[in-house]
Amino acid sequence: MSLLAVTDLSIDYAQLGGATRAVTSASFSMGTGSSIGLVGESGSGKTTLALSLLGLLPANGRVASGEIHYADESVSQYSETQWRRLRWTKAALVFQGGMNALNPVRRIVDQIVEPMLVHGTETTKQAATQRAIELLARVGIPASRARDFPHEYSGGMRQRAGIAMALACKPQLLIADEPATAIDVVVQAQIIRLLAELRESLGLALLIITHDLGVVAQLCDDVIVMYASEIVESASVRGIFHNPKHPYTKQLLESVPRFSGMRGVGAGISGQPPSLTNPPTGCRFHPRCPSVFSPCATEHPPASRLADKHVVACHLYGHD
Amino acid sequence: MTTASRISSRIGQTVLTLFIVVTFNFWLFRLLPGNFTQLLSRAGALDPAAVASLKQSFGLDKSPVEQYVLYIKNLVTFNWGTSYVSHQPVFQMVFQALVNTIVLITVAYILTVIIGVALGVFAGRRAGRLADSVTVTTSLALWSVPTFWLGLVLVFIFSVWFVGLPVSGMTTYAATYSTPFDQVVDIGLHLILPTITLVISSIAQYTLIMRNSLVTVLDEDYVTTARAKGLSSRRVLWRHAVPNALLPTFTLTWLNIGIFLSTTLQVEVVFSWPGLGSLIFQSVNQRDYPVLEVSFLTIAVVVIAANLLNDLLYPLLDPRIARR
Repeated sequence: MSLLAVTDLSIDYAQLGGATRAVTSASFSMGTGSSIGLVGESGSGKTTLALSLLGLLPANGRVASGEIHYADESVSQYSETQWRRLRWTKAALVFQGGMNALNPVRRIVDQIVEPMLVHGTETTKQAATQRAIELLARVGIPASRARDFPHEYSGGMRQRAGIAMALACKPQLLIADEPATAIDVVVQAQIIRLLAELRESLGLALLIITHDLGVVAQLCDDVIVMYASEIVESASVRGIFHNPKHPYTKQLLESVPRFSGMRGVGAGISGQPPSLTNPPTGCRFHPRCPSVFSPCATEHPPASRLADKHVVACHLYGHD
Repeated sequence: MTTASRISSRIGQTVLTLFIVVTFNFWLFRLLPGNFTQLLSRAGALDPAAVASLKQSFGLDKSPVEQYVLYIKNLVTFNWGTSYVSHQPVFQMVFQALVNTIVLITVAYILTVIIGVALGVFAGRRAGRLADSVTVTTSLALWSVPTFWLGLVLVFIFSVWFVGLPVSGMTTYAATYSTPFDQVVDIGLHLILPTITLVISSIAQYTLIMRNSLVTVLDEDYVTTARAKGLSSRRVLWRHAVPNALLPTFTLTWLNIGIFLSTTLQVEVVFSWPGLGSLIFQSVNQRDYPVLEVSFLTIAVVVIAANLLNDLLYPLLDPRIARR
């Protein structure tokens, strides 16, 4: 039984003149203590997917079809009250860089204590405060700084405080949206190490949403690549990095600047990410794809399983 | 900078501002057209000797610079002169008027801010929906109404159609009260219409600022965090969104005291409220410089004090300012 299972999930945003599909038929599952990286360009639907897991879609967003299961419980019929109980206790969010994820006018410790009291993780303010201070210590923030306001923290401390806050109600899953973006590389490395260490010691599952393949390589077992609202490839980290199949994944990997040799800036991917209001026909990547051939413009590529964990949606594969 | 040195430097600035205002205030009245002795002479032919003696008794025969020095000296020694017209001490006249104005403005301003902010929260959390559009449109429409006109319409309505509420003054004319409580009730009744006028015509700014500020704040990551933590929507709104959204409104509240005061002065004239507005109106008509000078200075002091209070109180709401 998996911790989280997403089956054929599609999410629409209502807009003037019709709906825009931000996530199309996404399926994946996560076991206890597993770690998945969700990779894609801005606007590929990865944050929408993450928010939908906690029922936090904006007012104009809705799940059009598909299912989300926590353990074996479906959340598709959840009321707002049921969602509230699920949030932070089953899965918690860590936001980008922690920059604005903390309320600027409330003390850090109070912000960590709050969900514990609301969810009954701790019953007294004293016990909750005690635990909040322990959590802060765990992420490397001394008790003397617990009563600070967010602006008194450095970017890295804010991100660590965000992680401590996410642990408040002992969730089994941490969803981290760009956890290492907008902070400098040294601190980035500390955050990544911290997440890896927490995963190890608490048996946390991690869903890491990022466009930084380096973060994925260090933190994740498996990778899901999204392009224009669709999952185009999923595989183990090894599979993605050493044996990428989808032309988009290949180009994404080639776009990463490397230190070896005089390659300069990575090649990048020509063209623009497609509009989701009016996506390209057939394979959504075909207008930018170097290997485009006859069926790509008209037929939507089916997902084909190439190896145990390696699934790719591309006409180049699975037609044998 | 420590809190103490921040406060003392802020108070230093305030004193400097006050000095500039006092200077400006003095020269302003010397540059205005019309003069007091001419106004008196219009009542009848005044012979030059009488004019000269009048000028002398008010110190108007001296050079402007001498008058200025004397003015500053009198100001700091609380020797604020007597009215050209009523010959009462200016201090006493302005003080009584100020107290009456404070009664009106306090009640009206507190109501304006509370109702304005409440409507702003109401509209902001329903942004884009019908209730929001109706609130915004209505408050803009009311804001566009000239205050004195609204006051006159209310005076008309309540003196012709619904007689009952007092439309003029602060107390019933020649009333005797058996208990102080009766007096308070009487003043309260007289407060109703001017207060309604002020609230209706000033509420829109607070509603709009609060609404827009809340809409922006509701989009912030920390509000999503608060929702993600499983907090109720009420708690998200009142504990996380509103305290942040209040910050611009708080500043507006203090900075706007000057504007609200000037609106109040108009309303006082319409409703014959015996406050600073009525006093200034009357003194302008009579070229009663000493009264005007002190009245204007009083207004300036009120506005400067409001700014000072804003700066001193803001850190209590926003910790980001506190320790800078």
